Amino acid sequence: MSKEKGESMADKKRKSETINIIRHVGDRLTELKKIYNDVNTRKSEMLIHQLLPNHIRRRGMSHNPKRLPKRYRAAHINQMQKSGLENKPKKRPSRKYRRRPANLMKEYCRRKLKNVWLETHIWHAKRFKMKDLWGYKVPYSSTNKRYRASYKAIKSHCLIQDISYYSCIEVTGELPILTERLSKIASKDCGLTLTAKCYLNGTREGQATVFKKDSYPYNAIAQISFIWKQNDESRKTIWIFVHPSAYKELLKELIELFETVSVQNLKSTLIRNPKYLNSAINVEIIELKDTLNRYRLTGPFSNSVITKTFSMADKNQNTWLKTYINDNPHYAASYEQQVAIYDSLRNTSSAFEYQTSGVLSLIVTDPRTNRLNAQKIFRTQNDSFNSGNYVLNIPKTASCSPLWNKELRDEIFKTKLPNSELNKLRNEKQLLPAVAAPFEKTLQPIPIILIQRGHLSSLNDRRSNNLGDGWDIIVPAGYGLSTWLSLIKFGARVVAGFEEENLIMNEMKVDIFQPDTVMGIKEYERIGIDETEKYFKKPPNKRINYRKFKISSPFSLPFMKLINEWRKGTDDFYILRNKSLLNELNVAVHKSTDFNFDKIDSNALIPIFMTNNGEYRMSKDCNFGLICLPRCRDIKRALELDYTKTKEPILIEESGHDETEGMRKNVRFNHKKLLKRLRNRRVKAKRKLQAVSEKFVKIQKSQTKDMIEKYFKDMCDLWLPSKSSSIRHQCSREVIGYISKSYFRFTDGKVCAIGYLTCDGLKALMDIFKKFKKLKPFVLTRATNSKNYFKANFHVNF
Amino acid sequence: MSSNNRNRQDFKKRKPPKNFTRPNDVYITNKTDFGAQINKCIKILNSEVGEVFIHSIGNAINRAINLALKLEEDHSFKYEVNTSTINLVDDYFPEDDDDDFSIQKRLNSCIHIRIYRPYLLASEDDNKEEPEKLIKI
Repeated sequence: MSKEKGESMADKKRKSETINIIRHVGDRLTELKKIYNDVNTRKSEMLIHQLLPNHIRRRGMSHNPKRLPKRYRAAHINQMQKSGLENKPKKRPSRKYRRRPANLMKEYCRRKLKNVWLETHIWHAKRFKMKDLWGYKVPYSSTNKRYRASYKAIKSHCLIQDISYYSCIEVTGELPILTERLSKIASKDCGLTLTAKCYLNGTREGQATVFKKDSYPYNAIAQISFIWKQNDESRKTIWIFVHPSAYKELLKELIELFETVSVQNLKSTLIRNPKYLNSAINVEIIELKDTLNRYRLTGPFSNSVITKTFSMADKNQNTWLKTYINDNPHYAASYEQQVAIYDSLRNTSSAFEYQTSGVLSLIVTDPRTNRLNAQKIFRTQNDSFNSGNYVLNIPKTASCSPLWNKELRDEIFKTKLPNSELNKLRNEKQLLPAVAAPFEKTLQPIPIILIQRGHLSSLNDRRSNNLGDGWDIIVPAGYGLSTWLSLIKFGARVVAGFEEENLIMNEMKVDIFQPDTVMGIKEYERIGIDETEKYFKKPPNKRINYRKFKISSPFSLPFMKLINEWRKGTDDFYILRNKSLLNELNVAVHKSTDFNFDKIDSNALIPIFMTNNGEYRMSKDCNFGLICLPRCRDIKRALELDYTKTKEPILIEESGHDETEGMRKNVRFNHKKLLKRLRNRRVKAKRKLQAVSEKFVKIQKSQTKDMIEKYFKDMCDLWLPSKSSSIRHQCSREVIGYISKSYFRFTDGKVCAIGYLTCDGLKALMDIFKKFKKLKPFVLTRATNSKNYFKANFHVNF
Repeated sequence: MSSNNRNRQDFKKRKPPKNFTRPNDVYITNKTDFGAQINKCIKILNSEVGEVFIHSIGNAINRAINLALKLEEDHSFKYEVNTSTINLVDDYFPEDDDDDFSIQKRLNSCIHIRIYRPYLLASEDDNKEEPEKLIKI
């Protein structure tokens, strides 16, 4: 305490009683620092277990920290880590511990962070190979051998698939504005657009291809499906369902199209349904990603599965439905209509007896309450066959659904009775097995939307009529798994994954991953990377030498370059989607008549579908194969082979020269030599040290990781054909197109392929066939793993 | 159901109904191999069921008649014939944004032929002496 002169007594007294803490501590800073330092640092060099008094020490304390008193353990482990002794990896907890419900849930939450899980994920994970695709864990292929079974299911039973990863975007606005803006991303040439009159009243689901704004025919984004909300107001709402691989691009496009701004705070990332608003034109975009479940039933049985699974809810029960009808009196009439239509649906026996791509809204009881004896009712006699009772002219109110209401959806999600509680109640109140207890009627009903899928196979495909028909079901979040289990219980036994979905599309001749869309580009990139990886995992003597096979792009579809080589100066390509042009072209190809190719832009690719008529095949499952232009002698030989019914390839490619073979040998030799030299050096160094030291000296670790990686990369480049080589003249026949996928088609019993031809290539082909009167044009195909050219008949696919 | 804009391009037929689905109902199409169809019928006829119903519509009626005659000629089965009419539905897809979907209902003729083993009748009548002989078809 310092005393100062000239201060009053009162001041002195006050100062003597109070201490200024800041100053007080500041004066003693150095001492405090020293004390703090002394306390925190140990003076002795000993470890913690060595510092303990004898009576607390135990054997093996340094080895096993559990022998230390608890309060010293953390410090001990810390010390051991610092001293460089490797801490043993933690032992994996026992299975019993890991599978306790709480721990299991924790683990699931951790895994969900990386990829979005579907509601039926765990069900699928037990039965399917799961793959990380498009930010989701997607059931890829069944672990059962079910490929042919899936086809049988489509043909005569019911195939079910969870496609909840198809994401939904909701757009709301005044109809004139929506019509004006949405017309910029779709074209009338490709068929009906998003605002076609027949879709606007909400009774049908539409399909369309969307493009970037005003850039048709270039820059296609994806094929989408959409439904409009049924209402009579001028303010309309549309749900756009898009494949998740093109979701971001479409959303970005829509935001730019309507010039909307995000409403939410950008920093918070955990918003379930992000919203974007343009208040000037009053347009709202809401992301409904992962809030709706969508299940796809395919096959003639799907109708009976649905009618057995769902029963209409009673509107007189005291649930949200009663209040909803009270609040919206106009809904009461449509509810009655829906009940009537659903009843008539029971009399039909297949999806194609319903209005084509018709939308039907239903309010159904909780699917968990339906516990009829499933085995007994599964398959009645007339189930899978057409009864001739058509349900065709659906009133537009049939598609009016409370599912469009966001608040209601959220409420339904929140107030769902959990399974555990339902089971508890059942235990208490149920008297007879398999009969619903009275309390189950009071469970809240759920709104669902049924969408008929019919006539989706390609238009000029007459043979696979009604193949792939079925229903899509949209179920609100929370009820996904219970609905799924219920559907399976009532007959949807065969379940499809991504591979089986492809099979359906293949049978319908539909290419969902068209190579000019965002979806397609990403998909073929993924396949390309997978295939490349697979290729280089093989030992060199098991790899196909593509240079000798004269294939310059084994893992990609280089359409851009191909078009450029057929006509210089092109910078982009697109797939021809103009229906009238495609139709004309198809007729011209079919009847081998003249076609004015000036009508088609040279940047266009023409989608074709190919089949072999003979017994020889294109190689199955071989994407990226070549489509080549036959010469006159090939055509003559094909006719000869047809006449004699000989199963031989039309032409066998001569083996090409591999100019990099010597280089590869050289590089490999030098690399091996270098590695050997480096190893010898390390051995020598070790011996030198060993001579001096008494202890055993370990050999130094190799530092060649980077070198080996570089070597592998160089070798990969030397293995694969150079990127600068010609595409059009890569082999002895001119290349006019590429096969995007080839597969065995059960409907035909043949290997078929979907491919794309350049416009100039097709023109050249038609010119050659002019010399052969009344002969339908065909192409030569060659798989990447073969030198054989086969004849393939084709037609334009649209 | 407007008849304008009915191009062949956007027109599709719906599947015709299959009203009978017993195991011995055989639907005859022009696409299936004729020999396979005959074998299928013979297989059913030689089983315990002993009779087969073949159905076909429109273009394929010829096929069904041929099949029945062939079975009669080569294997001495008997047949009886019925005809009927069924409703069919075609879908027309709109080409333009202002058009609507439309359907066309039309009728088509069908034939139903019952083919049976003659001994079934014969065993009831006076030819009771040699049933074994007739069974070996």
